[in-house]
Amino acid sequence: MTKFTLTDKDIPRQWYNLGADLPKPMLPPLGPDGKPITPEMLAPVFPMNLIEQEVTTQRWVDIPEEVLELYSIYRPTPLYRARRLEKFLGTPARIYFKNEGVSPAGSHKPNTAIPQAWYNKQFGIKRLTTETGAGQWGSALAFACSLIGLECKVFMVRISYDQKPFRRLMMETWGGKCVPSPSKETEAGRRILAEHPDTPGSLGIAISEAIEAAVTDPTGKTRYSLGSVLNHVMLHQTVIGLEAKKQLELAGEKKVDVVIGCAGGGSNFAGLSFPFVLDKINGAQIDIIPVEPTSCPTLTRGPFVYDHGDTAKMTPLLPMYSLGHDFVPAPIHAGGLRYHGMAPLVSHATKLGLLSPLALPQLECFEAAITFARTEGFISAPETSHAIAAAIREAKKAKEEGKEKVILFNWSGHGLMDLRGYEQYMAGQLSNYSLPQEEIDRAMEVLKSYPAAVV
Amino acid sequence: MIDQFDELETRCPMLGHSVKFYYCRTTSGDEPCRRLPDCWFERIPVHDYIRTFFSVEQQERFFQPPPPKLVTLVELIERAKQSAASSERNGDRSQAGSAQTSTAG
Repeated sequence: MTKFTLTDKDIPRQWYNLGADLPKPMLPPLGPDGKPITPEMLAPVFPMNLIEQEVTTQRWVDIPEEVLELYSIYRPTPLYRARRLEKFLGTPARIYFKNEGVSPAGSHKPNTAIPQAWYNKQFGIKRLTTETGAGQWGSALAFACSLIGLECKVFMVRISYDQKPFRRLMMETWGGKCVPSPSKETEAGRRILAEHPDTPGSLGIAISEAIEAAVTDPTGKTRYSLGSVLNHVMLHQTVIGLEAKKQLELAGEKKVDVVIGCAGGGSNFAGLSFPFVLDKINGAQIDIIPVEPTSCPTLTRGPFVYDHGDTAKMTPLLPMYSLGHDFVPAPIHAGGLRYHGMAPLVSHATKLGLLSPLALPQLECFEAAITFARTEGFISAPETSHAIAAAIREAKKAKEEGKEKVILFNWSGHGLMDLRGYEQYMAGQLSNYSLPQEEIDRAMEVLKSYPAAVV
Repeated sequence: MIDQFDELETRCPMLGHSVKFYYCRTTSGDEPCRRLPDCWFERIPVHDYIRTFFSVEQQERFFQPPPPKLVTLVELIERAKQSAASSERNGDRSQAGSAQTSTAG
């Protein structure tokens, strides 16, 4: 068999909360006043039923019947065995992928957009706001709001609004109102526009606008929705991995050796992998691999940090990576290292050694995506191509080792809105993002003529 | 030349599409994106570039660990509340001002 499908009644009835099983619990984040953030502090933007999920310590959280019914529009999503890819690679490994691209929005994002919209509706909310870049999350939320009967306002970063008209049109087709950010609809937007009328915007500005629109609604019937990073988002996405477990059983697999997902904010990776992380905590031998681009790594190298060589700040700033470096600056150490934009649960599981992050270069990922399209047929989102490339690496490794490994990865979304990248790759216009030495030397010469910043 | 890399392109991991270096260094008006060093270290001598063209305060902002998302949200909520309160006060003042004007008129 190539495709392993479940019926509507097989959709998991509960989400899985990894936070309940981590060997070392995560500490609650501290607010600006140094005290733990309380539910009341978040109440202006989230309904209390979702805040409860954000902080829950329960292992399993029931999925409401109405959410299950809405999930059934596209769930259970199929699990495929990539037989043609296996044959192409000549690997003894058995490769499976979970196809989350079959959702109406084309990605895994509706797995959390639907329950978020539902819980808001239950709480009496009439309108959701959010921010979006290229529009994957904005379109998922607009889709969910149309199902649930909520108004949806999406602040789309201006540069993305101009570059990605089709995602905007998807949002509008589902009844969402998409405004370019910065907009004149909020104080935050008006302030930026007054200072920089031609600004292309940023996610930082867009989120400020979305929050302000929720907080300042005089009716109190507007809340904000976030599609990544937060615990309740990870929770909702675990429906992916829970289904995959059932499907692997259907496929006759007793165990899985490698679980892979691309990791940006962490939600699609968490969705597939967290149920398998539980198995690993309980003793299973599984390599669980979040994959990210080498061009902007967070989990594998950590963010760059600058630090003064001494605490008195007398010596110049020293650039360094906060991971993989012998010296981690004391303030960073004390504060706990955090990764740019990565879900705290994924960061924490990485620090505990439960995950084995991997960074891959752009060309290898595009090559993998092309191979995948020409063997399995599906055209992948650029982010998803990282998971494919990692799966191919693992399959080749299994071939070298002569092992019949079972490899599972999350095919998190299609790339039909992102064909420009494929065009550039096939035209040979992409590179692995490293400047030739002579270019670096030339740039260094130019820079030498400027005074360095004085501390 | 602060603009020497402006035409180089990369895929922005936050936006999900291609952007030019110019965008990364001017993301919020005069402020660069805090991920600039993470996203460009492979392609340009980013340390030197940053040291040369950004203030010490900006450099320090780059290299501070980002606050957890929930903390950011709480800060934004507070800012939005203050902004709304301030607008209300200004609105009240301007309404009071126009009322006085009309009375005087």
